[in-house]
Amino acid sequence: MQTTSLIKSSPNIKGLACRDCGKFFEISLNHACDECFGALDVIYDFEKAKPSKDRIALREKNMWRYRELLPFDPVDAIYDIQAGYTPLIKAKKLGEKLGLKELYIKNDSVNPTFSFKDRPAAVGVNAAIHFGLDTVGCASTGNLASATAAYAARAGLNCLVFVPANTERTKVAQARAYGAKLIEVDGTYDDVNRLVSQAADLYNIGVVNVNLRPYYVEGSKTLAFEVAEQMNWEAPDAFIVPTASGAMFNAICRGFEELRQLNLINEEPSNPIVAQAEGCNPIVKAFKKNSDHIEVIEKPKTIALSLAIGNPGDGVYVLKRLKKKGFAEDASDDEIVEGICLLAKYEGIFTEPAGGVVIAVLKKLVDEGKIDRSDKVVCYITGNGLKTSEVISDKLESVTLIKPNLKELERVING
Amino acid sequence: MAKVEVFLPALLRKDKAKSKIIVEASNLKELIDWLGRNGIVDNDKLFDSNGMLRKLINVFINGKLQNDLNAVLNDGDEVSFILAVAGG
Repeated sequence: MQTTSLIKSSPNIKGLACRDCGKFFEISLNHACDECFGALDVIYDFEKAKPSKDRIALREKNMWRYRELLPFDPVDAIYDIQAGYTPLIKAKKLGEKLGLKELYIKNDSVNPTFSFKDRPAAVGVNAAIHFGLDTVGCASTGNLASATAAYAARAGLNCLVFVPANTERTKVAQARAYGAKLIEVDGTYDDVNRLVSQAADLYNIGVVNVNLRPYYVEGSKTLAFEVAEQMNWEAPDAFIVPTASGAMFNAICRGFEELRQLNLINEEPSNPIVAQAEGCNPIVKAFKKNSDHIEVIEKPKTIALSLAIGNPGDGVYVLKRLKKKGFAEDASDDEIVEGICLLAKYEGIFTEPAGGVVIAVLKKLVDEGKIDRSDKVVCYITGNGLKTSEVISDKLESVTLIKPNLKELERVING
Repeated sequence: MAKVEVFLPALLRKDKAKSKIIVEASNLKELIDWLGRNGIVDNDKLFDSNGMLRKLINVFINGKLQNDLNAVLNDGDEVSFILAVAGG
């Protein structure tokens, strides 16, 4: 299948730069430095890229309203499914329950494919078209599979998605429904990621989170842009991110940094927080040991399958950031379920286990005094509970079955 | 000496080298030395200033992460060099 039109990169882009040694590269289908193998990031010319609050306010309510700080411009006929501008909700009841004055939930579980992954996939798939590729793919724990498949369907590209064989059935079905060829790998996410990295090298495939990764991660910066705009161009004091590879955490931090560089906010958040599952917590372990080295978790064991990455690609970069400020904390499976239920019962938001991790870590850090009770705190809730309901259904109150008559109705009502 | 199949991503191999090659070596160190001597990789890039394999390169033997250069190789092993920054 051939793509019908190419998408130009934004004129605001200078090029790519290595996150480790700073070496500069032209825009290309390349994700790592050829000198030191560090990650490449898109670099913008801030003399040209000058978004104004007024101009942004007039634009459509989706992630492309921050187009000056993204690699592609929507006027260039990009393929889109309208991700972004999800609600930022003041969580008054949950805040009171946990003893916080200003708690906010960024409910990114209401994106078109029901996770934040629509943001990076939006940029990744359009990057594939920019580079003239007709096939896209990804290594996924489930959410990215659907996001990539949905954008590929929209753009008319072939799509190959790879997931571990234990991925939740709902996520597998969703990705397949968009027409993707879904390949289950009998192994962990890290096995999947290794195979897909090889596929990106051997075949002519745009793998959004491998060879298109510098562009892909840019989409997640909009999670910072939106929160700042929704808080009337202020940053929160603290934010909590469910963390697997660390790519989203880094992107959100970069988003706030760029807003500060452009004077769109006065200060960056002072307390960025990484939240992981206890059964797959390589970044938390390294943080608590004050180590620069990530020890790989070979066999993750957690109900938070979307966070089950034992060898996090961005782990060392997350640790570098946490050396300056912030915390990393984990949550057990029981705490994750409690977190899911707290968010559902107090705020009416049903999240997947990754969201439960965030709420559990919030509760822990407030209790330990690592989050100030008077701070403005944002919890990033990035996946929908409907995708993983099998995880908690047996842990909830049992369902009552009755015959359709008044006698039985009275019995259950009167208890 | 064991005969092993080696996978090298484009960024690690020199211009005309292939992504999959067969190499004979007893351990990982010997294998990397052979790759360097035969102009397949640039050894100066693979190692840091302390002579350690760079942290951003992962080596897998039959799918198992193994960055110990003394790791012994056996006939038929699949040795894959993978760049660490990927996925997620």
